[in-house]
Amino acid sequence: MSDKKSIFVIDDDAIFVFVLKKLFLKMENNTPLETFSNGYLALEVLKEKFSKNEKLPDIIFLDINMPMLDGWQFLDEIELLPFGDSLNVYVTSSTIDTTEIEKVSLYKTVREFVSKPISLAELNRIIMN
Amino acid sequence: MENGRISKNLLYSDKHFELLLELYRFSLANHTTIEIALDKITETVVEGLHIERCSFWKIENDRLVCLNLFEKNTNSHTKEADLIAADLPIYFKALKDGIAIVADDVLNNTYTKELKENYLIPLGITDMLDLPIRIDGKLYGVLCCEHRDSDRVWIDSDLAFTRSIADILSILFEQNNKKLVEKELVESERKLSLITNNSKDGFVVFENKVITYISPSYSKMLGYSEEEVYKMKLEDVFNSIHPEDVEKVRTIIYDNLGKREKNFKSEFRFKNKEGNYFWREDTASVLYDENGNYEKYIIISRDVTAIKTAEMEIDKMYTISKNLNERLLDFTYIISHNIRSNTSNISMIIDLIESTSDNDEKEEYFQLLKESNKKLVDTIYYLNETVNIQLSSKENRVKLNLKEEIEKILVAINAIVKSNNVTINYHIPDDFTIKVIPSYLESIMLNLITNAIKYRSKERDLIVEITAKKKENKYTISVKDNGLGIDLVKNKDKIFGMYKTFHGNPDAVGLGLFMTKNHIEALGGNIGVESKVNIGTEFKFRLYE
Repeated sequence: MSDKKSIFVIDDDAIFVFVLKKLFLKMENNTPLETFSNGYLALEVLKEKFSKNEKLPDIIFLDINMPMLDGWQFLDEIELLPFGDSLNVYVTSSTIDTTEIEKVSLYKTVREFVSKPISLAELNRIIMN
Repeated sequence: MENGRISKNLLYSDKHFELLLELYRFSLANHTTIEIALDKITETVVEGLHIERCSFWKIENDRLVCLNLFEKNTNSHTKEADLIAADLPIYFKALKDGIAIVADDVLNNTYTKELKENYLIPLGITDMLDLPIRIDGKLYGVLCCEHRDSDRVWIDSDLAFTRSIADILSILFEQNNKKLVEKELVESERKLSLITNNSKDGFVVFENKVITYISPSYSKMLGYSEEEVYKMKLEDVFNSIHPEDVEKVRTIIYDNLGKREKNFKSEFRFKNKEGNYFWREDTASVLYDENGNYEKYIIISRDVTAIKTAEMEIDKMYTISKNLNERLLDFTYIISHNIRSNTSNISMIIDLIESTSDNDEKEEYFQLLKESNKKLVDTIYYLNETVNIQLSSKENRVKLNLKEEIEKILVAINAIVKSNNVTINYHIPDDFTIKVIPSYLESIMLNLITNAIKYRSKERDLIVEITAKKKENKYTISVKDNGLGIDLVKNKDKIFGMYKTFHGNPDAVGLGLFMTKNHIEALGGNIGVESKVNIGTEFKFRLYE
């Protein structure tokens, strides 16, 4: 296992993305994040990486409420792709709607639902997994 | 003519023939009771056979019960005591086998000697001619002809005469039984009509696919006269059933008849004579013959319109409150999400502030904190607005001139329109007025126009067309653009949701259309959208006078 993991953050909340970046800078293996403001942009990059046989991200943090392609639509799209099951997606949201939280388990590629706010300790746990 | 002497050609003597003829006449004209008929018959036999006694015994539970005895000596009708069939097995078996017992020497005759001690000797009887009387092939009784003259010999004509009498007796009993059954039927129908006449439920009886009975309450329920109901054919009945219910009813009836069900229910709307539908609940009871065809089909029909209407009202209320609850829950989730996304950012920023001693870094986080806080305040402000829309929808409405209102808005947004090279065309009659809450109309029009500007295409200059139509009490106002368009297949159910944006535009807060929809609904109207990606979008909303 390489020390540095590649991480995608798909979230339209600029403040959250900024804070997340700062938190990662404070971690020991500080990892640069690739960020996307909606699912559509991330999906395009994933498809391109796959077609060029480039390494796919080790971890994806995915928000639910987003413009263009929201979290669910993104998950539906990647399920159709050949690498659909092999991504480690962490759904991050501030929702308290239990039906949305339970819906996460329907997707094989989703590891966990992580409720916002996310602490540094929680980030560490996810990276170490 | 002398007794016992018969012509070689005639089985009956003239006397017998006369007596039989008289008895036939009597039986045909007979409106009297079986008792009077028995009087007449026993007398006729005694006269015709020149004997001492004639009696009729009915078989009841292995007993012989004497119903009538005529004695020539006393010229009177009496009765003998009952005889027990078990005491007379041979005699009884003969009767059952349909054998006519012809005994000239009763004390020694195989069939009659059982009667010797208790009956024949005490009564001094020497000759017997006993004929079984059958009804529907079953032994019913016995006609006894008895004589006290040891020289007596029964001859063929005696037997023929007595047989004929026995036949007449059988017929009389059969007719009498039928009369009794008919009387019972009349009585039971009288009881039925007592029930059906006094019931609010309608009763209908079909026999062999023909209506044979309808209760007054049934024709009253339908609004037709009894004659009109009797004339109804099966197709008329089905034609009166509500088109939405008729197939269901047909299926219920034919399925159940097919399964030989004795009882089943159906509920449907039926058109009365005035042409109005009412709800009826039918309970059917069916009697089938041995081939499985229905013989009798009895329907008890009840008008359940009031119950049904109440039920539907409850269903409607239930659906409304269920929808309201779902919307409220949705709303709660959206609100909590929007508040939480800001508070979670705030708490994460505070963590960052605490994690550093660098003042420049702290200052940077502090700016972020201020920004997050502003967003939170805005969210709560909009939440407040949304609640106010629901509360103030009863506010007084004012008649406004639509064209003037739109011109006011255009003046207010003149700068943005000019700087973005936007053309706004509006085709609205000068006298087009609309009764609304002024601030709502302003907010609706402003939102739809700025929405079009926000999502304009970079490839062409934006043209917005505003039109208004009035038809009867319905106003339709349309705002159409040639902008980016929205993918409706993906976003149909999200367009008017709170905080849903579609273009990744950093200005999009996703609240405009949510507020617009709320305003329109608060005014009692509705809004729809037509759009094609990269061609344009048309929002159309309707308000009612």
